[in-house]
Amino acid sequence: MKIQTHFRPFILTVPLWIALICSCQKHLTLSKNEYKQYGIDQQAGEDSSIVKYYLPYKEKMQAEMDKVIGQTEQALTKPGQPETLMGNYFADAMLKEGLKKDPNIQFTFSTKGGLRSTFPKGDITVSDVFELMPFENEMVTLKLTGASVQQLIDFIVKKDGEPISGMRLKIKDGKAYDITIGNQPFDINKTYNLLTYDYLADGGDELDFLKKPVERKDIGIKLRDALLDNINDLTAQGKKITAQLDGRIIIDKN
Amino acid sequence: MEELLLTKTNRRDFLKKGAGAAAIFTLGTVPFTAFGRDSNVQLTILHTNDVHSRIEPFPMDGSRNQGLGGVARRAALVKKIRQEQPNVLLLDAGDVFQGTPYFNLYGGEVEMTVMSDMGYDAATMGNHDFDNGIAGFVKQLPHANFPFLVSNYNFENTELKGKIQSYKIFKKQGIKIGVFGLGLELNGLVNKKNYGETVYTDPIAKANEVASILKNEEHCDLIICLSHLGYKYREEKVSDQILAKSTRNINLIIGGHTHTFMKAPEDILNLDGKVTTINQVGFAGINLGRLDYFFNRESGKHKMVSAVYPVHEYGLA
Repeated sequence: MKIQTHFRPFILTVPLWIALICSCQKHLTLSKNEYKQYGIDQQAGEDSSIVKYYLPYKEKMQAEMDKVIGQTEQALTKPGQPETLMGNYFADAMLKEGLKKDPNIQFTFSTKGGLRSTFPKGDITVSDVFELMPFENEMVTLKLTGASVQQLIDFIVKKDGEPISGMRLKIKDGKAYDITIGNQPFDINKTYNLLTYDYLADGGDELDFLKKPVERKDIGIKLRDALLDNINDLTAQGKKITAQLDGRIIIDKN
Repeated sequence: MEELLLTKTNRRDFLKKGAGAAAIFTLGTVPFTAFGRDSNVQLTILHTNDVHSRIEPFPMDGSRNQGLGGVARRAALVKKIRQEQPNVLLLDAGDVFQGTPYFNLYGGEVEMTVMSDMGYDAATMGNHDFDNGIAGFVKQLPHANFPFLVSNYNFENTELKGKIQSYKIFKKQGIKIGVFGLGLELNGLVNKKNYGETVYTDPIAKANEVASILKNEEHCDLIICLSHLGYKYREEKVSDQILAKSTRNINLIIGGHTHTFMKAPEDILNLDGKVTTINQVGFAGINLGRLDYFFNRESGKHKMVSAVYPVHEYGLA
């Protein structure tokens, strides 16, 4: 291939050469090129005027990020199956905030992978919330057929549990049973209102079946902002950020 | 700062160069070295992609990229290169926005301002540049003193109408460089609410149309495409590799989106059997790419110049 790349241009220069004889214009032709790549690392000098420019933004940002907005009673951690403290807090907070916008929501679904960090015990800052949810995901409600909900349940089973709220289920031998949504037994012939976020509603994480809901409503609120609201509300009411492993998903290993 | 240069000379390259020189002589042309100093013009192209609001270097937290990147360092490096080279073009292939709280809090103002201070000549739009909607992008445009170039998005029915150019022509010591931009399919990737009535059109057809204008009507000596299409995909999806082989007249594709750390630029034969070079330098401003093109200036009517004569210096990241 390289040999061809080299010879072809010469052949093509012949008409060009004739063209040049006919015109008295100056002409420029590419003769060679070179390539370099600079790694920008700690040995590189800094342009102090640029640092000086962004420093006030950085300081304001840090002050904003370091702002303590709430307290946890205990660390909200992630590891563990099928439920996690972080997952349960996140799902419950999402349901509570979603219901403010749409009272018809019956349950929520998100993924463990979407929650990017944990909360320590004690002070929670804006930065902690950004780290938990760095993406610009926005809340979406989906009206789903019972069959689609069944697919979602199968997905949750396959993943040994995902962060959910408003739904409870037990899993045995790779199958879900005793499924309830909004305290009512799951009925595959009914439709259900799910709260999730755009990334998943758009079929992310191989949830293609979520792309074909009966109805979709974009709430237009970022999940991160909903979490910030949730924590601010708790703090305003003198409450702490809490979560329990309440058996919403039980894997029966017997 | 690390600047690794590796000159790749093997027997095949040597033979090719020898054959090339022979071809010049058989055509009765004058080889490169026969020109006086004034005949040579060097153009230095510097480029980034997917900087993603990485204003400060990655924090020293043990992560893979800790301590890397940072706009102040890039600015110092660009300044130094400008002192050494008279003809510099500084370009970005999109996704200026999103990735650090600088974007979440300030909406892109800091990114646009530092790019302007560094003297960026042009950029294209990536999918994340729509993250605060068309209105969010329009709001930050006054902070940019360089144009955003996108050929295959029609913004007629959006707030960006008249604010985005298809291409721009730069002149450096008599060299005409045409630069245009290509963006990827927004549907399915960007929330409809954020791109609104932006209409995406086929990038390959558009690239051929614009490159033809730049070559045949504007008589550019070098044509550069700033592409946010992505380097390559496993599935059938338009990428820089597909773009390169499906088009004419494009000399260089500066790519983005896939965050690909290319060890060296890739040369691909285009529809005319000519070389189209693709390059992409990772993401977050961890690297700055540099391509130097050397031109022979030809005056008068009887002299002929040599053709493309690639002498690559392969850099390693």
